[in-house]
Amino acid sequence: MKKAMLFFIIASAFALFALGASLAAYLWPAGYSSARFESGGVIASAAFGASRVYSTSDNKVFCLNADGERRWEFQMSGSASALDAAGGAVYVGLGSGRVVLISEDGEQTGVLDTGSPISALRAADGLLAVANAAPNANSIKVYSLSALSLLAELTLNSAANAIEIGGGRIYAATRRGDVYLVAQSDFTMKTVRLDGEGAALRLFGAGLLAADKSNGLYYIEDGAIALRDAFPGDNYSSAHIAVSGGTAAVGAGNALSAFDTGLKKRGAALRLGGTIQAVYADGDRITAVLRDENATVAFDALRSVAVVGVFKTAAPLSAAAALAVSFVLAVFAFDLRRVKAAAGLVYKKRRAYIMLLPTFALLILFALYPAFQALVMAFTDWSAASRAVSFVGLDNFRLMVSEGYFLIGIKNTLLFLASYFIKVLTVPLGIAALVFSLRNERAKYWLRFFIVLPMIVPSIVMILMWRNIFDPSNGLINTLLRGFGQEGLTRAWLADERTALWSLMLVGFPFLDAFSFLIYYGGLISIGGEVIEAGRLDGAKGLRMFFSLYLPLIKAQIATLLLLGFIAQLQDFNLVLVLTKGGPGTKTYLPGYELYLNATAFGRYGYACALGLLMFVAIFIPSFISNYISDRRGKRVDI
Amino acid sequence: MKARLKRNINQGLIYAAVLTTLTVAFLPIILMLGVSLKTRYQLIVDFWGFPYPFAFGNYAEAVKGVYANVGNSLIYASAATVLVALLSAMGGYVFGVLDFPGRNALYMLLISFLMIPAILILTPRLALINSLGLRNSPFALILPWASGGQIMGIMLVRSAASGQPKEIFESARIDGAGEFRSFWSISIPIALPILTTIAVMNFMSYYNDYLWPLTVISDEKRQVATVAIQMFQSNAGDNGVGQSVAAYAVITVPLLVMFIFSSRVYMSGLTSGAVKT
Repeated sequence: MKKAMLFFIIASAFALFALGASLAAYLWPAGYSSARFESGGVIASAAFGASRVYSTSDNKVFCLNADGERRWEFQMSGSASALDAAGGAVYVGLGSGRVVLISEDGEQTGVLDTGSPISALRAADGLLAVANAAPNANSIKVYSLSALSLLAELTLNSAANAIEIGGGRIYAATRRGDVYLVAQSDFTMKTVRLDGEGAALRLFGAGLLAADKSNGLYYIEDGAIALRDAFPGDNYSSAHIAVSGGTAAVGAGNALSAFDTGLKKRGAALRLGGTIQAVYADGDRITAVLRDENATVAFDALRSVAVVGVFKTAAPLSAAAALAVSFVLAVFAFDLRRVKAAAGLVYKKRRAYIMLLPTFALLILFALYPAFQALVMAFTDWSAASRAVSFVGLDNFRLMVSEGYFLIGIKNTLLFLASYFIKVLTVPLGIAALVFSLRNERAKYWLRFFIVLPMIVPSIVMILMWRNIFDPSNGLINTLLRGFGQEGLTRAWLADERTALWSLMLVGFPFLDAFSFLIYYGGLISIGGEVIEAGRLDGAKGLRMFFSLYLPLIKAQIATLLLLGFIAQLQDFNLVLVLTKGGPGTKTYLPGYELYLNATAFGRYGYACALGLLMFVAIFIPSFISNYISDRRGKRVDI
Repeated sequence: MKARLKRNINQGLIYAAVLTTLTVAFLPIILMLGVSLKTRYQLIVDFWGFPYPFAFGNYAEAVKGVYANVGNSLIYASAATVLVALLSAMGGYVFGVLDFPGRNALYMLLISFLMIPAILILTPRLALINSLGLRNSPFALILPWASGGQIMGIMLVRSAASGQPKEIFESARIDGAGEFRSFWSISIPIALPILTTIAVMNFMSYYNDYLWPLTVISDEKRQVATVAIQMFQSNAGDNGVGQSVAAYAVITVPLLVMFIFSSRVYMSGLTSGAVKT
């Protein structure tokens, strides 16, 4: 039996490792690459046949092919605030009010003066619509593409941020949040009101998709809002929409999400590695142009991602399915001899498996899968901001040493551990022995009752009450000191470098922990009357009784509490999170808190996983040794 | 006579030591009740005084501020508790009563899940919740909560169920009861006491959870009580110390009520199954 067990453990370890590795490979997103060259941030961009044209903040217009390679670039005389392409020409709108026409080969072919600064333009359906933004005159001028002759001038209530042409209409979304619907035939206008400042417009299905800067998404059909929803993104960042078939991609801030024509989200939003500057869709691929950290666009940041919905939700689900299948395989590999005979039995006993399915499904999805992900990702640069993950070897572990927060955390953890051991071995043990040695059963019951009662106060409430006690101005401790005339001793206990750590250790005074008390008390009860009577007949009493009789007989309880406490102390950082945030300075950092910060505020998932892995090893080894020892002694401490 | 006197003195000293420790241990709770009933003025002028006249207004404000979050906590924690109790009962029954291929291997695997510490999976779980689009959803709490508690539950129910004579289940089968039927009408009643313990233990830890809700719930309306009291506190500001502390007391009430109805579980159940020698 022991051999079989060992075989099983080794086999499943191998199987799970292989699984973890393949899982990691599966989760790697598709790569991207292209010649890197840098320029200013993208101001406006448009599709130009199979190519893309971009105007950048350093007054240039670039034309890149589908692979991101530069076809040509054009130096403008001023900043290009808007551009579009149609019929073999690029129309670049400038702050000066001029529209520059550029041919397919990057040659200037004409200039059109619209009179005032241009905020948006669009060329389609044989029309060129230019939005002019002047302090008191906001308008759209509509030209014919062929002759560049002015067809109409329409007055708006505020400057237009986006223009769209199609379906017999011209649409404009303004800063005041109005969407103008203009008929191409007679230029009659209608408006629809959005909740926030208009940001982007795209034809979608039979209607129009509009995004505002308050993260609102609208589907406008027949001159009215038919559907509305919200998309993720940093508030008030500009939104970009791209449409391909029945899918619309919306990029805002660093979030990219996909919607179907019913405005149903297709999967969760992707968080990309930088601010989205433009979004394209063709076929089932979405391309997002990102602004990199230096606020310039590196054109290798042109990142292709598959349709968000398919890409994102498929990963965890199919991973879970793969896990489930290999798990079943592993189980049967172990019981190989019985498989043939059991095939029929499995079906007969199917209800047993059905009843276990939810438990294992939950545990695999929310415990096993994350655990293996953590083991693998600890060696990568996985981050909240980027989908591209690559192996970085032991870099994360080097970072722990070079950054130093983790090392401070280890020192503090050791101090907290020492104080925990002292606390748990004194007060709860002493009180348990004292209560146990009382003669009055009723009194024993009620004392136990009141010792256990504080257990119901949520730990967070206890921590907050201790914050109140430490409060510099009207906390219990300082008020007490002032009452005794010791004004000089008062201080901001949690904010003072010299006292912060010790104050945290003082939380919970007098350390009468109900759980430890109950474990000790349970151990004392199980000693049995005869043993105690025998000890008493031998003349033992008081302290001698405690040290020579009680203590050896509740060794298992003590060992359990020390182990449980060790595991909890290593992981728990609520105290620091609520009371000091690791401060003052870095005085009270804990490894768990450092992990939490990296997993949330900093978004450095890979580094957080590495910290978690190290802490797991630190927890696992003592647990393993202690179980091994108690197994050999024929005693087992189940935790 | 002298020995007896000495014994009585001894016992008296023990009472004195235990009661003193107990009183100090209750100080934060007494302080909580005291501060919660004082106005700002009373707190400054008369810190040590009895909180009279009672500032019940603090409680009115606190209840108004956090009752919805307490409701959230109760709903989320109850859902997870019911799920865990049900899964524990089913799993314990399957492992304790039924015989099926792979039983031992599956049980070993189940136990091995206990080795995964929370801190290891915090980051991937967070990423998983984000990628499933569950952020701000009750399921972001309920599902992870319900992935773990049932292991200990299954172990406990299993030992309770396997202690039952097999004949009960045999005769039920002969009477035509299927697996599900004999689970519902025999196993659940047998395991009810241990299930109560499991439910109380888990409910308490879910209601107490602070870190995970803080991490995955950012919508104030959906937030749980333990996090909400801090938001309430920052809204109340320095002048609202009494109100904030009253909110602490308010969110403790559900656990107090549970304690009143199940103190037995707390005083013995919590330690049963924890240590076996």
